[in-house]
Amino acid sequence: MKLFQQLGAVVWALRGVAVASRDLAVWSPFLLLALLRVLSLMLLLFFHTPALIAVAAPVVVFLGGTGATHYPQHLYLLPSMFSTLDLGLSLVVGALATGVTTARFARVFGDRRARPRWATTLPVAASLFLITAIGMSVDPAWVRMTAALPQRVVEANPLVPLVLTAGRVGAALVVQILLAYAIAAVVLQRVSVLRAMRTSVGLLLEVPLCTVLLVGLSTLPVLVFALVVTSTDFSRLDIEPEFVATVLAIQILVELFADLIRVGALTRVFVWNPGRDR
Amino acid sequence: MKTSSWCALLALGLLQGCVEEGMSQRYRAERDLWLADRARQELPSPAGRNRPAWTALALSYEQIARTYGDPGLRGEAAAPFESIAGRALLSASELRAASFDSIRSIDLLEELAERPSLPSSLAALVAIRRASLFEREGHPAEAIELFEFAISGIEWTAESLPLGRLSSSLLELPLRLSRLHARVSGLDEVAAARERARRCYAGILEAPDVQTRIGAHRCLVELALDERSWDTAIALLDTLAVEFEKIDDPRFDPNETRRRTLEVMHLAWVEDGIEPTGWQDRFYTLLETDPLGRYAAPALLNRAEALARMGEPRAAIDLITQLLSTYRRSPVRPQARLLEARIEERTGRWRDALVAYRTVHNEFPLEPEGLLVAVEMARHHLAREDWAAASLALQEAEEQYREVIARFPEGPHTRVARARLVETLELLGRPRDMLEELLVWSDTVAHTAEEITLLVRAGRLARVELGDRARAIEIYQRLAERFPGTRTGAWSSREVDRLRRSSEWSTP
Repeated sequence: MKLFQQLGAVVWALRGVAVASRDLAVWSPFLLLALLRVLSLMLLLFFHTPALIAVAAPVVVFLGGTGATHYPQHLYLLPSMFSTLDLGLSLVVGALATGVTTARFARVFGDRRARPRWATTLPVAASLFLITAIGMSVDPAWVRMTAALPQRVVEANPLVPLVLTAGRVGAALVVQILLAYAIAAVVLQRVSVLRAMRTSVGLLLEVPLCTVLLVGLSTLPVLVFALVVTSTDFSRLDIEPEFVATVLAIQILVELFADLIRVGALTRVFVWNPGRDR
Repeated sequence: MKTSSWCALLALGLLQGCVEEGMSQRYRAERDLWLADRARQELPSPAGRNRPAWTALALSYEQIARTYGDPGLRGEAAAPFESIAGRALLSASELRAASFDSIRSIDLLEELAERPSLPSSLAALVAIRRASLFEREGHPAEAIELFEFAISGIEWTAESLPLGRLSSSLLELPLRLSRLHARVSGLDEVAAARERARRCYAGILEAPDVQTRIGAHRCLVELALDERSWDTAIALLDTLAVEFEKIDDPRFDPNETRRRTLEVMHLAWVEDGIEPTGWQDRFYTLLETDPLGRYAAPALLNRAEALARMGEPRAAIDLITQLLSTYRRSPVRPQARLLEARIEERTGRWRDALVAYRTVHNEFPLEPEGLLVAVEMARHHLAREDWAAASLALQEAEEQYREVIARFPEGPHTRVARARLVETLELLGRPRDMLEELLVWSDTVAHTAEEITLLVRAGRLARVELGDRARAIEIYQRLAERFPGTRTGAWSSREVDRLRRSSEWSTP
């Protein structure tokens, strides 16, 4: 497909998402995920209140050590504690929510075979977890890999840390692009994980620019936001420690919209299936 | 009850075991203390002028100590609360002291010292603060006792230092104690205190923290200077210079060790009259390392001053000439010019002295030295009993100082001019004008320690020299109202009562 047609497809897909988003049913899976994220953030944030302390304090100690129970270190450690807790939420609830939302968007976009209920998504839950896990494992793997680099290599040139950070974002982005349509294939075509990945790569090759733009536009802000939040030493900034919680709440909101736009736009391209037109 | 309910209860029980006793309360206490510390950083300065804000924050600290100081826990669970309450009381005491409420400040320190389970590091700090107050108020024995207590709580080895470093107040402790002993104790005790201080610093010379290491080294230099071991001090400074060269940190400037070495050479020369072979060459070599004259110019000035005192005025004048021609932007130039004028005056060359004095006045009219010239010249005439010339010079001086005060906004220039004006009025024998000037001056430095000194001086002038009891009462009353929490404030209140009583007696 020609480049300008792919650009047109990007606009078309995003417009489709805008129209489909008027239906609250499309929002509800990711709203549920956002609600759970907010609840877990509040659990970590208010662990010290008498009502929560019995349940939340051990979680805080487990995630951040005993130092995390002290003010203001608790708030400075909040991003890392929350990202660990969020990892589990994204893997379990996030994978299912993405599946259900894909089916609901597909239904709106005219795919009559799509089954937009939580119960009908459960049979493919294992495949969804696996695809989500592959996507999520890139970042920790990159961090471990680069941590093994000798310090003198990292300090040899001021550009090295920048290149490593860009590589971290780039690697996560590449995997997201490769797996862009895999969840849609699993949910809508009920195929195996391997088959879904092959379908995803095939469709990517049909509309590479469109896919890169859609994934990039929706994922890049989230990745950069998360990277900035987790790598910032808030204790060195002249801010109220409580501001960290506000930043995390904004991050949840950004992720809610970004997830919805990404899943909706990719589902529209998948349902359209440009390869079929040729 | 179902199995799942039992499991949930068991899990909850296990979780409860993980929760530290009083954690919720401790967290709130830490937050309150953090917020107070943050507010402290934003307090308006100076403390004297903004006393309500400083007092309010001190009260907040005291409130934190009252609220969390006794959480009803025992043993380890109570330790964090003890530490928080201790830090809060210490901060409250510091704020009170800064805002001229020393009486409450001491009360708070005493309250702190009486807390049964105060953490040892905090106990040492409290002891140092209390000892400093005793030292300032002339009770060295009590100060020594408290310093000894503080010093005994610290293990002076690199391995045992908390976080590998010591705060500056703790670091200087052995040195301060040895100096206090030198003031009041016998020779043996002084020697023992110095030996112990040396051992303490030697123990932490290899501390991981560079500031602690350098601080210990500097204290060893000071100890050597206290013992007049000039060679040892210079050798230690040389080692320090080598250390500084290795550290890439602007706080550790090798020029600092060069400046100090020049000062030590000067001290050795002035105090013991010794200048070992090679020192003179080293002196000039060190001067060459400083083309801008940041430490070379003051060193030359010191040497010139010493030469003048030792009866070598020509050599001193030569050095001053060298200084003035080599370092054209040095801030010590006014001092050098004034010294030149004084040397000429002392050697009876009044014409040359007069030229030099006028040069100081013309070149540096607003520097303290330039402002001093008018009084110096008047003093010269008074010493020669040339009353007419003295009176004329004093009148000129008064006019000059009043002009500076009127023309410039309140600042360092007017402060010096005010001091000189008071001096001039004293020489002119006008105590009433002098009193008025002291009161105006005290208004310009309101709510500072300087105001206390000026009001005490003014009160004394009114009471003793002018015999004006009503004015003295007015001044002491003002002092008592402005500084109610200080010992001077309390003394002024008593003085007001005393003067009022004597005034009632003398009323017919």
